[in-house]
Amino acid sequence: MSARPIVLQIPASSAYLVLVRAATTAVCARAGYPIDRLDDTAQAASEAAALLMRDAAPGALLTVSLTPAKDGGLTGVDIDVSVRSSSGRTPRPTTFSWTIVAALVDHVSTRMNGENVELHLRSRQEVIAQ
Amino acid sequence: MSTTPTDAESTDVITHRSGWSARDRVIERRLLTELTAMEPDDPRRRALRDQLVTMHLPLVEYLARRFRDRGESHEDLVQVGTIGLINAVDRFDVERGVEFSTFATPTIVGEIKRHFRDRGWAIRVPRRLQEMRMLLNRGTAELTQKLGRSPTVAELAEHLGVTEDEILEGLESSQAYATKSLDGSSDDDDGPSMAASLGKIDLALEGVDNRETLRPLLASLPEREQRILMLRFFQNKTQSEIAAEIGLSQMHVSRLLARTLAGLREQMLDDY
Repeated sequence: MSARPIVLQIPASSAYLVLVRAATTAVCARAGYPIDRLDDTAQAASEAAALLMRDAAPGALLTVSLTPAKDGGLTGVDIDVSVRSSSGRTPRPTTFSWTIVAALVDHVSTRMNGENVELHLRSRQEVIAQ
Repeated sequence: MSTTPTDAESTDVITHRSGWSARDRVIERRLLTELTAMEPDDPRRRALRDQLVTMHLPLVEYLARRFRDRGESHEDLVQVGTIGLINAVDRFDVERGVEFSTFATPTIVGEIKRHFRDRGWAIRVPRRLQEMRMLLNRGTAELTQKLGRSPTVAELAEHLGVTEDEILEGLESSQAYATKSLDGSSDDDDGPSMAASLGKIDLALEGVDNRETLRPLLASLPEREQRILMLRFFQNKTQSEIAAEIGLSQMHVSRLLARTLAGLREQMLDDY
């Protein structure tokens, strides 16, 4: 079961990464994440946004969707980052940035969607009983 | 932009020794002369050094007081200031002809400022947020200990008797300030530890693109930041585990990680 996404649209500039971080933090807090996992996920989202910013077409806006997810005993968030690409190709999974993102969430994938390059991050955490 | 705690250091020098007699001054001079002349591995060095450090603790106390009301306890500031004092004692050279306190003051103040920078408070943070961050630090440590894992925002809010929104605000401000403090000039003097870790860096970067760009960037990080990065990303330790291993708070580890990655990011623009 997925809730409705929270969507951010920001200029492709690192000055806006703090917003990605703050929004991800808030969503993970609501999902009941422990602080250190929450921080990892926020860092991953901002790192993923930074990665796609490098390939953003001039003037393109970057979209970050945060979709809270709950399945079975797991809670979490799906993070989709998307921007119009200038190179027309996806980032390589062997880059340092990808390595960082991959270490912080459970799964990362990328694809081209028309002119847009997309990154999909999945983060899950066992539900902690309050 | 960095309006780090004020520096009107030149006047400090006289003040802390106002209680000194002429005899104290002679003793100071004699100790420093002896220490300068000693071989680095002389067994008497330690006692001499301790004596000099004790003599100048009032200077550290005095300098630490100038940073009061900035959200750090006086004891902590004296502790980090003392590290600066010890470094100054070790590096002082009588032959340069400067007063020891003139020489030591910038080193002590430098350590204290570095402490504030590490805590992400290089720029003026509203007092309410500083207090929230201290509260968060304490609460996180207490609950981590109690639960055996990192606490959730809801648990922290309940434990500290504040709202979840306040916790979030505290977490955000913590990161925002950590990121900003990057722009400030850095006079950190704990330099990189090249030789020791190059091998580890190479191993960690196996299979990663841009190794040639990355290697010197990683190698030029301060030793502690290097270690945190390696533990988190290449040995898969959690922030809480790293915090326990290095002896910092989890929030401190989080800030250092965020800051280090942001710094690397700026220099790795072709990493796509």
